[in-house]
Amino acid sequence: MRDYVQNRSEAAFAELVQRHVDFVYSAAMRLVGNPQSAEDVTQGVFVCLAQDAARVAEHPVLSGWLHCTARNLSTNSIRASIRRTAREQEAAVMNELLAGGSNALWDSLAPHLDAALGELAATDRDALLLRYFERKSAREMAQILGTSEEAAQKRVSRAVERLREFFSKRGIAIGGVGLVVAISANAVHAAPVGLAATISTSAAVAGAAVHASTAITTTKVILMTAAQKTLLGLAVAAALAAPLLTHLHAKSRLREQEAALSRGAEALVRLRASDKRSLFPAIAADVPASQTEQFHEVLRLRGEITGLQSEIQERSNVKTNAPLTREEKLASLRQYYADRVHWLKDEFAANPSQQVPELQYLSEDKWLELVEYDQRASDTNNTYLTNLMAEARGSAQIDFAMQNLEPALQKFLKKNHGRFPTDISELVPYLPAPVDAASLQDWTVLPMSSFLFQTGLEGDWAITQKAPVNAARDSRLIMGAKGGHIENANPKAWISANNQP
Amino acid sequence: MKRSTFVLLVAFAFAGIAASLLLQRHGAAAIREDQNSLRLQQDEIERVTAESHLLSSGVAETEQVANARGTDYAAELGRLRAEAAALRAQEVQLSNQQWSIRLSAGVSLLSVGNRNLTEHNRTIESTMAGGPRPGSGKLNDARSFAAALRKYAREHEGQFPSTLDQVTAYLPQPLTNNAPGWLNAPVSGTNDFEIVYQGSTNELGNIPARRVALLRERQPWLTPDGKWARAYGFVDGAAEIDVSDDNFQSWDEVHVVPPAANP
Repeated sequence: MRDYVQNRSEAAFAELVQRHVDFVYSAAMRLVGNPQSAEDVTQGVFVCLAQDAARVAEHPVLSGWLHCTARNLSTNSIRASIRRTAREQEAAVMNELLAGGSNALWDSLAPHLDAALGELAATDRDALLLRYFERKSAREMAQILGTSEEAAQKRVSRAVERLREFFSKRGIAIGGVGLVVAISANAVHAAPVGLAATISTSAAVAGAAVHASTAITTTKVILMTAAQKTLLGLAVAAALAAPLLTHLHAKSRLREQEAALSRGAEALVRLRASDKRSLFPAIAADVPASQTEQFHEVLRLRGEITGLQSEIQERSNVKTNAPLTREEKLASLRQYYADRVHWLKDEFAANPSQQVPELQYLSEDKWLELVEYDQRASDTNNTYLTNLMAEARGSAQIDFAMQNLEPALQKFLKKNHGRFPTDISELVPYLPAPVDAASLQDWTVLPMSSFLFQTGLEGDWAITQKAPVNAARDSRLIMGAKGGHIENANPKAWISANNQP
Repeated sequence: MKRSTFVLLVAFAFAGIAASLLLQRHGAAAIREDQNSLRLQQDEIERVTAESHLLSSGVAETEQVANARGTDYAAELGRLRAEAAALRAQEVQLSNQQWSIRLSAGVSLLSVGNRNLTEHNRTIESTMAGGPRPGSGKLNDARSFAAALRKYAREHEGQFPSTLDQVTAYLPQPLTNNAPGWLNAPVSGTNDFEIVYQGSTNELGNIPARRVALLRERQPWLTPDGKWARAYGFVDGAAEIDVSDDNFQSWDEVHVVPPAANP
């Protein structure tokens, strides 16, 4: 390159072309997709090289500059057919990706390879191009890049990884090794025979024209013949007209390309919208609803099974002798006292002679109160049970009397102007609610004077129980017109003055 | 042709070439700008194309997966349903068994506690809510605090407070000369009590309120005859002083409900 810049050596330029033409042609081929356009682009690249040789010579990696230029020039070539190409590419990539195979893989990579290379950092791209496109060894790469072999190799690895990520984002899943193999095998194709020679000539002429134009001297003009002068006039006119025509032509072509590009862009935007709008609903329509439901149920069941398994495992690990939790303690207390109530009821059931009909009216709260204290352990002679049964009978009869007889008595007295009933049956119409006849028959009306203990009550008559179950333990309720009295466990409580037991 | 004419012609030619070159350069700059703009559009189109490919690939893949897995799901579903049903049944059974075991253990502990209670504990003084005012300062404090806690709970939907500081406003006022005998006397202010029941009266259904301790003295104390004693207040408003020779272990087993574990 230096030889060409310093000496304008055509041989040096031809050598440059010979060395890089395959690489440039391959890049152009990938970008434009047809040999004719690729040749045009390749020629254009080397013309640019010839014209910008001095500047390009400062570039450390010529292949990087060549690739960049090839990509820029190729862009012009593909604009006009972008809409058609995009649709064709989509179909081709879809089919070939699904079909698999190395050629299909390369064809899916190729349209994006140069865009991917363009996204790489310059240092990484140079390293990659040297390694796989120019097939340089690690040592040669290091020399060219002015770095160590290891650093050069690292740049190559990093570039490959970036490329892999780039393709992955575009839905082309490929490993690093596969990518390297695909690039090595396909990245560089042989350019058509004769292309290098053509380029060398035309590009060298183009480059020389720029430099040589200043070398025309006035002396030569003066010495020209008339014919030569005429020719010069024509050349001057042509020189004036040609750039103008070229410019006009380029603008016109650019407008056409721009219009085509706009149409392509609009079409692709529509394509993108239709992809999102119609393709996914299409899937939903194609996949039976039952399969979707099954899939969701499978997921749900898997989660539930995992949860159940850990819960069972957790339950299996719980120590049975661990302290009771609050909930367990409360439940145990309920169970313990419920058991106690059942025990007492069972005792009554087993000893019917100990029952009184009013027990059926005893509330559950009262049953609980009765069994608050458990003295069975120390009840060697059944005293505890005997007393407990007497207490239960007393509670039941007092509750029955206070809830039924007492309100009925007050209504009766009011209705009968203070007259006390002579028989308990007279209270029946005044009871707040119907009661069991057997319970009512437990009660009688006695003269207040028949009691052998002080009741402290006013009036001549009282309502009381007819007889105890256990005279030594049972309490007696005396209910007068204006109050009541309870005689607890008094042997005299059940002895009547008129009716000695 | 005169020399001056020729020079003029050459000058014109050079001027024409220069103007033409200037025009071309200007045009080239404009074209470069256009090219840059077009290149940006080109990049966008490439991006959209790639996205389109991605979507299409996704569509194809989803279709393939959905079609391939349809049959497998049916088979797997049957297996998973059966497994889940078996595990559910096992979990319920295990849960019931465990609850039953724990409940039996709790009832058994209460039975043992009640037997030990008879053996190791004795109530030396007691009073009921609304009963005659107790003479003992500790018993009076226990009953007054219990009454204040109950009053607080009545005004807070059954919920007892967590600290005694919360019931300051509910404690009895100083007694007047003609105060009825059942009225609670003010507490001594020693603050030797602690709440042992955290929760609500609503949780105590089917449990005798007389058998659930609401508060107790922080530390037991020695009676003149050398027994350890402690004053307790109950959910029903009663209070009692008990002596124990098992460090109140069996007493607490029967009467104290532990607080809920921290989540």
